[in-house]
Amino acid sequence: MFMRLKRKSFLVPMLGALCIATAQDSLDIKYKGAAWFQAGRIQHSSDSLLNGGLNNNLNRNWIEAAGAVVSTSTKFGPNWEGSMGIGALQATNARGDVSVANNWYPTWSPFVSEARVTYTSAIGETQKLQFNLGFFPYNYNPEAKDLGLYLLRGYVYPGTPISGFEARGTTAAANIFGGMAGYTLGNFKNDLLVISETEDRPYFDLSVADVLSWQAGPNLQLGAGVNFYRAIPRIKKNTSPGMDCLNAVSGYAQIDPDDNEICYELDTTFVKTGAGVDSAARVDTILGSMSGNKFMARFRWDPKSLFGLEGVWGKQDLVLYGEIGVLGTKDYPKYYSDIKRRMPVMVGFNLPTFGYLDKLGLEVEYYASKNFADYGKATTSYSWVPRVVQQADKARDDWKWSLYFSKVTFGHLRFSGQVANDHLRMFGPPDIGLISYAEALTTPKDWYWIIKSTYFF
Amino acid sequence: MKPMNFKLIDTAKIVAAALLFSHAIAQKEITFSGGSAISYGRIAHSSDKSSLDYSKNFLRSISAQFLMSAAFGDNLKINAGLGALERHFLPGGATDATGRSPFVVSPYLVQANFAYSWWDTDQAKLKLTGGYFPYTYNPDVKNLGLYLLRGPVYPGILISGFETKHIAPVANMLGLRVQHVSGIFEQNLVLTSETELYPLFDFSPAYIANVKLGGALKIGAGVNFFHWIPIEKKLTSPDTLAYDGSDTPSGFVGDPNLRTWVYVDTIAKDTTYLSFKGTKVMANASLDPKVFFGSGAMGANDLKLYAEVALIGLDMSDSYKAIYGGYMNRMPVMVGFNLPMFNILDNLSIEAEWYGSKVKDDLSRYQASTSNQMSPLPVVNRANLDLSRDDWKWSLHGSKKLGQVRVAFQVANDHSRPGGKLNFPANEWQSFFISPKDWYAMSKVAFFF
Repeated sequence: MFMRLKRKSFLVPMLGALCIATAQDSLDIKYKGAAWFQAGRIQHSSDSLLNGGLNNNLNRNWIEAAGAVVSTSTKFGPNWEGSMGIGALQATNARGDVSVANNWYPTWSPFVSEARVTYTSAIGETQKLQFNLGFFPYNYNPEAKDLGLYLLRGYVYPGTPISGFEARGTTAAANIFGGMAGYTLGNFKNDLLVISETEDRPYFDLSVADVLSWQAGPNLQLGAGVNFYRAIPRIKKNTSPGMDCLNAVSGYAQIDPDDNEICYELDTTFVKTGAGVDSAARVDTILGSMSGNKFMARFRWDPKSLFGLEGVWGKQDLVLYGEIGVLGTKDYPKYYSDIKRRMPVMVGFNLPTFGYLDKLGLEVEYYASKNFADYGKATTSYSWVPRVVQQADKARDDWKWSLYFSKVTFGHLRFSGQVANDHLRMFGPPDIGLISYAEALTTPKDWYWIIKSTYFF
Repeated sequence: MKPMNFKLIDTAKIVAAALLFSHAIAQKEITFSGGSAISYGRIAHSSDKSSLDYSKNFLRSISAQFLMSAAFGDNLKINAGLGALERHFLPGGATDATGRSPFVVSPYLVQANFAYSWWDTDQAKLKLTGGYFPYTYNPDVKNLGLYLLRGPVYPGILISGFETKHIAPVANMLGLRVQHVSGIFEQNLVLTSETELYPLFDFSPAYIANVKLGGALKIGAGVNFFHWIPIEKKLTSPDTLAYDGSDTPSGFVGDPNLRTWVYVDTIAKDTTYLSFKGTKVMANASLDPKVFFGSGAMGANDLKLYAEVALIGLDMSDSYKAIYGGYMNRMPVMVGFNLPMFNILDNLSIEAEWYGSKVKDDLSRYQASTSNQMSPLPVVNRANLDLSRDDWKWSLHGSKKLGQVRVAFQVANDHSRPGGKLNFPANEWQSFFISPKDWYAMSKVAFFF
């Protein structure tokens, strides 16, 4: 929420000194800030014991964090706007098992919440152009609270979705580093994004994405998108390792040291050598890439006005929404042989709260990937090949769910919370070899809860 | 809104109503404040050379911060502020670290909280604060004191230093605070979530009250149930032997403090599991005699006499007494006096403290480490230091505001400590000052708006 500054109460701030100190009278500066505290617990985590052993036991791990962010947005001219924000977050590394709680310590992390410049130009009454450059927030599906938004978050190969409680991508904090060109024509909106990768290694690969939205009437919104993920790699051999790469895992000690599928797959097939002769094993070396194409289609349907259900219902009540994605169109034998197993499908429904809550969203997702949900090999060793954990039953994490609530009170205090089995990851204790990129919740028994209070202006 | 007779049930109704209903409140104003400071000083003498020799080490830091406060209506205020502190790890002696003083820049939250006031006048107040907020129950303290809400219980290590966050208007606790003022009486109920000391996130409820008598005398008392609401009970109060084998007979050799979670009475053949949780109590008082004869040309703080006594840990069972001593070993007593400065300085405060603790003043066993489990046992006195030589502490603090600039200084022998070592963050948490010969001097210049 932006608040206009009153001159008589204005004292020279440290932040934004450049734009304020010069032409203060000609700039329209708005300030906003927020602070929050959240706490919760992973009640059950089945596979963390498989992943690094007892030390990485995430069961009953308490999750707590607090932070603050302050930002400004400045209009300098009828078409131009700039925005910047910084914040600090206090959190901790994951505690892991109680026997390694000696590794548990608080961390302080500064972050940039936004750093962008925007050009907006209206063309007539029904058209608008907008360009964003820098570090800015972008969310093509504001209805998603936890599950979804995979077009722009997570790897393709391995296809590891990212989600969590008010995770990046669902909040107002910046999640895109790059540029966006948006065009609106009536009820159609198209955004073309060029994204420089700053979260998942290898860094700074460029992805090109296009997202289309169509307000098909007052009740229905449809959308679709494509992401040519890492289409322009910074260093090609990192993103698409060939036969000449080292093929050794680096910096991820939880992986089986005998894992010999880092740069390529070794696909064992059996070939009949002749009539009446047993098949002989043949090992094919499959080269691949971390780059790939993602697709997305979504909808949002609000039936209230259609059935004359306005009035007592909350604004968000009864909204039904869904998203389907494709994480990689190219098949690779052995681990990525079936495109249907690379298609997460999510459906969400805002349960009626009659205004007592702003949102009470139930989301369910089906994603039938048979690969272990861990992107550690990708981020430590530039591997497009998934990590194999034989003991894990990969079918048990096909279904995810999330129940999210939020309520704003007094206009500036917000309470929110979630109970879920989603794609939460906890980066394990910092002891050598214990850091983990695997999902914490991998069977139907697994879940966590978290609550948060936010104060904002 | 006029204050009404305070009743618990009314307060509960108000809080419930606030949570159930929402309505936008018009924003009144945003105020900005902030500043920057540079601090410079030197450890003149530090006797404990069992680790690094900190004598003659220079101390320097730079900080900058700003705070945005937004008021909504007459009742609600939101504060969000950030800062950054650049400091350095101390090098010790010339042969300790080849003179290296690695710098580190740390962000911090100046404040991140909301404050809702049901009523707020000089004589009556009911206010709820939540988030990261500053709170000091004794604003007279400049250095020594405030032990009810800072530092662990077992062992009773005290925290103090030059203008720490417990003194400055910077957030020093995370949680909730309910403040109630009615005439001369004030009470505070504070529920904090532990963010610094192991085990993290345990909740500690505390109650602090004070009464002002005749404008001259203020008497206060408080209790802190430190870590009484644990997040993980087996971490706060272990019921197993330590995982590193230090508690098992085969793995243990030597000083009882070498163990981790148990105390073994070898005579009575009794093993006691120790706990990080405990109870602290405190009483304080301040007297401003100027009320009786007028201040004349004296400054507002001149001649104020203040004192605090605390009891850190009430468990007097045999095992706890064997480790931490009796009441007199757990009772810091502090007295302070503001020397008359006639506005030449805003304050020149001399403080003295006696604390007959029998444990080494060292927080190392509370620090995260890849090798050792945290322990409520004291650090072993390997260098056989005479621990009675640090019973007395003293501090001389002065400050003066000149427009938007503030100058402060301190000369002291207090509980300052290195705060870790770059390569081994769990090391170097002992106090610099362990004998009467030890002292340091610090100065600060701050610009604020």
